[in-house]
Amino acid sequence: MDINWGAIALVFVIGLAATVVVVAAYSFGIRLLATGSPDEGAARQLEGGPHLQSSARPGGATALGYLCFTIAGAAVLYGLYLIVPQFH
Amino acid sequence: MDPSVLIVVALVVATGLFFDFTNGFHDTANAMATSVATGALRPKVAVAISAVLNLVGAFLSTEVAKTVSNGIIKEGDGGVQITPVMIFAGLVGAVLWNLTTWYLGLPSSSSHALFGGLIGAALIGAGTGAVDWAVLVSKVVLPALFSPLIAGSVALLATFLAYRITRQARVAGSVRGFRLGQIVSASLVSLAHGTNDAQKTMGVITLTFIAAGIQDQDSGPQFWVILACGLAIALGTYLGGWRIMRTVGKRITDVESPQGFSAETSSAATILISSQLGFALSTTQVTSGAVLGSGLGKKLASVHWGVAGKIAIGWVVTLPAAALVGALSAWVASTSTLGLVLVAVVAAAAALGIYVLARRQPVTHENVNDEPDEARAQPAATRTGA
Repeated sequence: MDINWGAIALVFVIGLAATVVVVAAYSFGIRLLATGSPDEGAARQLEGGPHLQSSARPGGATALGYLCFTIAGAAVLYGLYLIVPQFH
Repeated sequence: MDPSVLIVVALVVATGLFFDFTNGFHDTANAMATSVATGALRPKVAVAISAVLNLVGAFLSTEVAKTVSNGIIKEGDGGVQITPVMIFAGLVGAVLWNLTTWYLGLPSSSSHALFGGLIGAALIGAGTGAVDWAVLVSKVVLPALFSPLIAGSVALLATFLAYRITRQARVAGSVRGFRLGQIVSASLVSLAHGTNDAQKTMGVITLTFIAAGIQDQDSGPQFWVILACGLAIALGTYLGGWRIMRTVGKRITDVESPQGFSAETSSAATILISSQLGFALSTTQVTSGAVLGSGLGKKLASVHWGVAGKIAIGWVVTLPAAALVGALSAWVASTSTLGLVLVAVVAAAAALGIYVLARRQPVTHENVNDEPDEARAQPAATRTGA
């Protein structure tokens, strides 16, 4: 029997790499754009306590955040390219 | 043309389209269960998006349709002549097994049901020589074993990263962000599904036309076949297999939006890469495995191993069970036209019976996210975040 172990391993390695890149980029994007804002749920927990201030987000965080989203978006476009045969 | 041939061809078209319909509502869960479970999309909206993408997908490519059933069942010179009766019997096996697993709420592979049914029918109609066992193992059994393993471990790492990077999804905007990301990646899974699954039925119907001498060999599916198959799978998707969606979105593990995002992204990446490399993995098994992996990837998240075990048993049984029904149908249907009609009537009655059974405890878009009893009984099932 001809089992293509190489193909199986390749699917695993590339699938893992692609997923890690996309998920990490998107998550870092969320994290970076949240810079300076209080955590979700924190405002509610501290109701009546000291008012939570959102500090201004540094420009670098904004730029990097959008760069991360761009990476994730590019991956989606590449996925579409792979799915639609008319594109290649 | 012989009227009995015409009856068979009509039956194949009808059963084929019905199979496509069951394929649609069986597989809605693959792409949309996690988005419904996390509330990223309202149930009706989720199935509508998935239905449209499946319809679009059906028109994008007919490559799969052209290659379907080439391989596992040996045809042509030196092989066997596959008859329309055998195809009909195979479809009966596939439809009945799909309905059974839907009733049980199990996400099983529609492709395995189809292959199983056809293999069973071919065994009865033409003997063991009709099936290429080596191809069966390398194209069906091995991918079935590796799909959940690969997708599961990828999703496990992805989920771990997503939670780690966003401080357990507590940073501002994480729930909204992950829900949005989840919708996009789930839509990709839906579209990829459409380019694959509607094709299988197109291929089967076209194969029947060729076998009956209605259509030239080597020609692709006719336009009305593409349209009918696309509509059948879209309608099935829209009506939604809520029973299966509840299993995937709530019962394997209670999916939260970072998990849903990680699971769907892993599924999309794994499915696309595997089909590019010519080692096609089953959509159903990839997504179920990814959901399981996303459950393990979150600290303290509980995976209901009993449910996962039931799903795994369903996967193992799918091909032989559909084969058995396909073989029985082929055995009766090939005796005479009367036998053929008998199979059609009994199959329709069985399908109706399963539907009536399911109506007694219906799962709809309204109660799809209700917590099942097993989950409620386990205090470990924590519900934090989304």
